Amino acid sequence: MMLLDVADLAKTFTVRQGWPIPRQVSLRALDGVSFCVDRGEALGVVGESGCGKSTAARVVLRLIEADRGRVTFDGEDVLAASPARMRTLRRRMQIVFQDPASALDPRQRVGAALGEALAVHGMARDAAGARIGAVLDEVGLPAAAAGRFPHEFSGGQRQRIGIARALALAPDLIIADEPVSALDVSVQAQILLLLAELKRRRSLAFVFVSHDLGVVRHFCERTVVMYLGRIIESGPTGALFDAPKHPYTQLLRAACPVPDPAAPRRAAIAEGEPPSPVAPPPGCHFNPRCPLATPLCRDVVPPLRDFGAGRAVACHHAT
Amino acid sequence: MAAAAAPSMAPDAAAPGAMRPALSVRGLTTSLRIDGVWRNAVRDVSFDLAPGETLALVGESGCGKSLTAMTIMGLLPAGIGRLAAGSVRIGDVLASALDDTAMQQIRGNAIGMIFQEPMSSLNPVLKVGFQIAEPLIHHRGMGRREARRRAQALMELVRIPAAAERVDAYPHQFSGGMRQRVMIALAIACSPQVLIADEPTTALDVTVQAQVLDLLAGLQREQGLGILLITHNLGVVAGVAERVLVMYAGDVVESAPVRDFFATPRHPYSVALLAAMPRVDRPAHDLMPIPGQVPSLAAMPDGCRYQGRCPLAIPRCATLPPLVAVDGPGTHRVRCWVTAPPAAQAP
Repeated sequence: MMLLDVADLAKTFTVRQGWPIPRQVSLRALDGVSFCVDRGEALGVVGESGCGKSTAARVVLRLIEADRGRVTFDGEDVLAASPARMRTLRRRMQIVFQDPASALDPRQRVGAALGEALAVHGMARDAAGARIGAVLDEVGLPAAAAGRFPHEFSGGQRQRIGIARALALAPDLIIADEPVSALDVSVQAQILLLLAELKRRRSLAFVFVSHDLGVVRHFCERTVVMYLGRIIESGPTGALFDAPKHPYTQLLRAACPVPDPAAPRRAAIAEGEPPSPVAPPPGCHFNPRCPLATPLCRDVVPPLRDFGAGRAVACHHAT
Repeated sequence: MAAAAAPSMAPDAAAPGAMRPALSVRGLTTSLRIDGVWRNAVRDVSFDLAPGETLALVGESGCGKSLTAMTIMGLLPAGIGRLAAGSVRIGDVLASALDDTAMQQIRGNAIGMIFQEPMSSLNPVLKVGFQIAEPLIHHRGMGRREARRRAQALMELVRIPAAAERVDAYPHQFSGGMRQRVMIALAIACSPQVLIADEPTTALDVTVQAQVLDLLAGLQREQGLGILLITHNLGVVAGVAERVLVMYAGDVVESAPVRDFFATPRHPYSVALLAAMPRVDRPAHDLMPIPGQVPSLAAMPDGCRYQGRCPLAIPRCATLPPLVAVDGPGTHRVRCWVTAPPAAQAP
């Protein structure tokens, strides 16, 4: 049984848009999203702004309530869990955010920030002190860090604190939402190595949301690609990026800059930007930008078809 | 500090017979006042930018790449930052000798600039067409109607769809990629010789980034624009630049044609930077993080500022090495006692 099994999630937000008279419009952030993650496995979730990748991550933790769908964590129905039950579940599912500076209270010492999570989950004060020291050590910070404030740390160190806070409760699953996107590349590598080490040692599972395909290729065994609220391709990360099958994944991969001047020049990227999630086109959402689009694509939503070797593609024309 | 490198750094050393550079920077040193003490945040930066060339200035946060751009533009906040030494020449004009009023005639005219976040550079309460027209009215003395027509033509040039209608739209009505196109239209309105692009695509999605980079390359071909591209993304550098300058903690540590740089990076920091980068085009490899962090300006070591994190550091690194050639033509230079050939470092 998979540690996390997400099936057919849907979420529609109501937003007010327009001026001078705002209208209510609905924004479909998730439209039938399914994925699963095994123990000790990292699943990458990639896509561009507004594709719903962060919403998917938050719905799993019920930081956002889904409209429809099922989230099963270690055999238990998360979306139906009572508040008390949810608290127990959250101990085992933690989140790391992109910007640790805004995820930490500037007036709270690091030890208190970590201790708060432990106190909420009923750990005694002295036991908590020892656990905080151990977890700071595990993320490569001195025990003295507990007595200091977040502003005394650099960006990379703050992300270590964010990771330490997630680890304090010994979770089985970490949802990481762009955990290294705000960091310089040298520091980013430090944090990625730390996460990989924790994953191996604690057999941690990750849902790893990122827009950086290089980072995902490095960290994640499997990856799902999202476009306007739907998963359009999934598979083992290496195979998926080396030979993408969906025209959108191909576009994304071709647009991704690589540090090699001899790399084949990509063809010019077709004009046009992702359409607004408020008014996605009918059929396959990608059809207005797709070189392979036919009338079928404008009418019928392509299902995610199995291509073997763990790969699936939602395209009428993929082969 | 430039003395050791002086013979090879002289302006005339740039390939004989080459075109007059669009931008020429010599020994640029910028000081910042921190807690009442002036400290050099950028030291001895020299380069030439030819018309039609893209030169990339790369480095991590705080390496001085944006500060270099602000110094060139004459935009250092008075009392906090100052040009401590060196000169900046834009075309024929010695810009570093101009006062603020005279510099206003240069900015947006002979030299344009685009920034990372177009929303914070555009005025939210003015129509974009008017904002693009403004430098034309100011620098070219155009009438409002003519400037507006020209603004619309510029919006078409940067391929904003339905430019005729959108000339009267406000910045918030544009997507991030379209806003960056508006910024580009504004920056090139007066046909500058030089465009400084400071992380122009960092806030954009990769497919939009590719479109904006293609647009800049096209404009460059048509108008012979010299582009100084400031970025932290080595992938972008490999794709669009001809030459690269790597900065670390205010020093240029390596300068090379792009192909040479990626084939044989010479400075330990350049090597480390490439090894720390996870790549989408290769199977996962062992990332090599750079230990530690950049020292603060107040705690900079004497000599090479990378020595504290460098695996190759030797006692001699306490003296700043000169930027010297490591190849015959002298186009690939490195500032390192250990990796530069000893012959090149002889006084």
